[in-house]
Amino acid sequence: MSDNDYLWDGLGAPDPELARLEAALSAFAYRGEPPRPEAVRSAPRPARIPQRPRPRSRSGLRRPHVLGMLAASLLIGLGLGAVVFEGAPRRPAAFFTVEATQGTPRYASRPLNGRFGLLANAWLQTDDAAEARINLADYGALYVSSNSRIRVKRLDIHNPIVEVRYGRIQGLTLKALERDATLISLETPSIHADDQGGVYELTVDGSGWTRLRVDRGQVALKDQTTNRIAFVPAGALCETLPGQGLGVPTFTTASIGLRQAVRAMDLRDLDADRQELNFTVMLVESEVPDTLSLFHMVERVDPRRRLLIVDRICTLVPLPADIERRRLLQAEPRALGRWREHLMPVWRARPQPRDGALAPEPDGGRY
Amino acid sequence: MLVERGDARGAVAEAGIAMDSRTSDSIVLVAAAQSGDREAFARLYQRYARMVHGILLARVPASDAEDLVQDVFLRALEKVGQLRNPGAFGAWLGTLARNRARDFLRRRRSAASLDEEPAGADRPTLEAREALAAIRDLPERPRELLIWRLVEGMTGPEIADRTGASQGTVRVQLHRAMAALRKKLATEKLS
Repeated sequence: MSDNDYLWDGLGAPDPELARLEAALSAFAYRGEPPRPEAVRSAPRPARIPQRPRPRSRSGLRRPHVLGMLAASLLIGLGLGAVVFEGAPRRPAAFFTVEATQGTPRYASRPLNGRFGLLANAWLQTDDAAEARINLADYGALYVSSNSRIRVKRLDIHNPIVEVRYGRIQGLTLKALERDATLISLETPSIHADDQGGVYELTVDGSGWTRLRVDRGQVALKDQTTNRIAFVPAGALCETLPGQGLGVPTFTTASIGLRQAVRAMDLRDLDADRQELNFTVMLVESEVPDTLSLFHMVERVDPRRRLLIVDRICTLVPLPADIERRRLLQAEPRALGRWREHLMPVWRARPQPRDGALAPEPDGGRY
Repeated sequence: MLVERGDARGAVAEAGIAMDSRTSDSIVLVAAAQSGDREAFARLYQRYARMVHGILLARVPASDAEDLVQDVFLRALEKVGQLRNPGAFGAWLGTLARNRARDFLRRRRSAASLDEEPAGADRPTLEAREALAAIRDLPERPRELLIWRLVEGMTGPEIADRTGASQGTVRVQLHRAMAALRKKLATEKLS
């Protein structure tokens, strides 16, 4: 064993056979992303999402008088609790808690000092100097930035509903064990989002404009009016204006031309010539990862444009034999669903920065 | 509950644990995690995830190893308070991982198979599958060492640090393991 020992410390001249084995075997290496301490001051448990409680054995609860005593105790307990707390934030015994991480946010109209159990529908308000964190059982946390207003509308451990009226939150949730299961539902004035586990940032302004950027994992957006769904995988963002329907997701690595064209296509009040120009730019600028944006346009455009989009996607990612092109041209939901499953691995293989892709615009990419 | 680093160092000193430069950081993190500091536990997760994954990959299908990493850390989080010697965290975590792999295989009632591939974008080549199969045929210690070094990309000093073994021992074992693997691959090539 010489000092120049590649096997030992990876330094020095690599042994060719060893280097080849390393390169090949790296396909099996650990790729899971543990919580980043710098992003998560207090990381959630690296745990499964909570399972629904198993049905209890009825052996101890069979007799009616036992049930009656339990119900009476519960009522007395609830009554005492109401008297003692009188609507004030509770000390944590709950699955969901809220705490200040900077300054003094207000929660349930009172200064938030310390950590408290969450109350359904109580507003959390941060000002210029305040930030807070909502701890979601043992599967995640929402980091609430300054100047934000947010509340938890439903305190269901299996699927809490969080409303963001305005401001910015950063979510970190652990990957759900069930594929595409929803961990948290997020509502803003313009969208409904299903967090399926990951790291993301949701920004909402006073007008209801919403921007979702996903860094890891996946978030599904749903337009409550049209029931359309948009999948935003890691590396992509989606912007939505109230009243304009769901935006089209784009990868942040897409060319600036494509991103601007997609945004313009999202705006319904654009005149026909400019729509056509942007449509052409979108097709020409699209590369393999941009099938994400093209796919989400299929249902929204007229048959002539749909034909062009379908053909462009098929050029970038060949159509599998079990999907008929004519069904796609008719925008049949089942065929589109199967096609989306086929394209999903392409979208999940986080794209690398490309030539022509620019840094986010100085205005933060807002319309 | 967040614990100040100074408090954790104090707790370690009170416990009379020797603080050499190699392991002191981990010991401080373990002590902090035992006091309920989730940030410290997240750092331990980052530091030890590859080691745990390597132990699991040496025993279970690649497609299951990543999910089991989370299981192992969940158990560690539940039990870290019971660990008497924070300096033995790596070895203790390794035991948890080996036990979890055994449980998994017992429940599946089938041996690990290489037919299943990792879910990531990088599909293993035939050479990679054959090499992993050859490594998995080796005895336990060389098997883990080679997976840590060749698959997880850990260096020898890192392996020694994470497992609590001496660098000299790991260096000798690593070279013996590599020699055994070369011999095995050559034999398979000939046959």
